Formats: sequence, C-alpha cells, structure tokens
Amino acid sequence: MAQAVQKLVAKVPTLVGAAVNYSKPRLATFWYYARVELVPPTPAEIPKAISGFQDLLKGFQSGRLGQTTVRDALRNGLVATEVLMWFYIGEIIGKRGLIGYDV
Amino acid sequence: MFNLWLYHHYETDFKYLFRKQKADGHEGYSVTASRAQRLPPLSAEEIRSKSNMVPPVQVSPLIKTARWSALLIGLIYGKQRYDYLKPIAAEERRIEEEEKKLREEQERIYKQLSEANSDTILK
Repeated sequence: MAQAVQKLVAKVPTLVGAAVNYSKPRLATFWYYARVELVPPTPAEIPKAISGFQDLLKGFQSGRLGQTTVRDALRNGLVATEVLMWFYIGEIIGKRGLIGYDV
Repeated sequence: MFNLWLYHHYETDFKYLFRKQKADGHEGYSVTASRAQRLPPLSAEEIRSKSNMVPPVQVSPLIKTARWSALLIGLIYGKQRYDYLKPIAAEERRIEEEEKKLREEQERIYKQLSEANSDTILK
C-alpha cells in the first residue's frame, strides 16, 4: 500500500507535465478567440452601442420587431440570456461566494 | 465561443490501463500520461486547422457593452446586497443567542422544580 502510494507520488511530476503539455495549445486557442470576442468595448464603440440600442427601441415602437422570424427571435433570446448570465456572474463576484450570501 | 477540444488525438486505450504494456516495460496504470508524452503535442494552429474552427466572430458593440455593463451592475448589486444583509444577520444571531440563554435558564428552573417535586421515598 505504501509502495503504491510512493509510486503514485513519483508519477505526479510526469502527470503535471503531461497536463501542461495538453492544456497549453488549448489555452492558446481560447486566448485567440477571447482576445476578439470577449474583450470589453473600447470607448469609441460605446456611442455605436447607444445608437444600436436606440435603433432597437425605434424598431420596437414602429412594430418592426413583430416581423422577426421565430428563428431570429430564438437566437436573440439566447443572446439576451447570455447577457443576463453575466449579471449573475457579476453578483457572484460581488458577494464573494458561489451560492448564497455568506453573512 | 466555446470550442470543442480535440479528444481523439490522444486515443486512450483503456485495456492498457489494466494490463502490463510489454513493449515499453511500463506498469499498467498511468499509461495515458506516458502515451501523452510520446505523442507530440498539437500546437494551437494545428488544432484550429484540423477541426472546423471558424475565425473569431466580431461581436456587435451593443452586445459587448450590454455584457460588460451587466457584469459591472451585477458586481455592484452583489456587493451592496451583501453589505445590507450582513448587519441584519448579525442582529438576528445576537437575538437568537439571547433567546437561547433565556430558554436554557427557564429549562433549568423547570428541571429543578420537577426534580424537587418528584422527590419521593419510592425512588
């Protein structure tokens, strides 16, 4: 039993090396996509965002949004859900706990 | 956004986990680690070219601002709610402590009284 544990402990550096080797290119791939898709908006993009939001409001008022196809509506709903999830992630970070408030 | 990783590059042959691998003289377990070392690691570009990974999509500025402002608002909301709930919880704990003390005091008195009353010569 002790010998098996010793052998396992001796294999830990190889396992760690293998894990690092495995994860490095995947981390690079993740970073390659995250650098374009997940960055916060630059200050130049904020007016564009505001105008996009106003277009959305105008479309809602003019009734254009009633013409969206179900497929587009589902896709937009998924995007909105993702934006909502970011709010909950922010709340988790703000309350410093994963589940519930640790008071 | 969530890209599939290539699992099949390192094929895991599970029967090797239970038999001694005679070719290398390795023991039965932890063969996956040694196999992963013998196969050259795929570079990031190889992974991207081998799988059908599209180039990164340009997210619209509205979605970007919405996401990050939602994150910020969530952060602020979480912090403020925590600060609001913390003193309330402390107060409740204090009240609970006091009530517990009172209750234990009463129970002690009750027990003493019942012992005094049940004192008979038949015990």
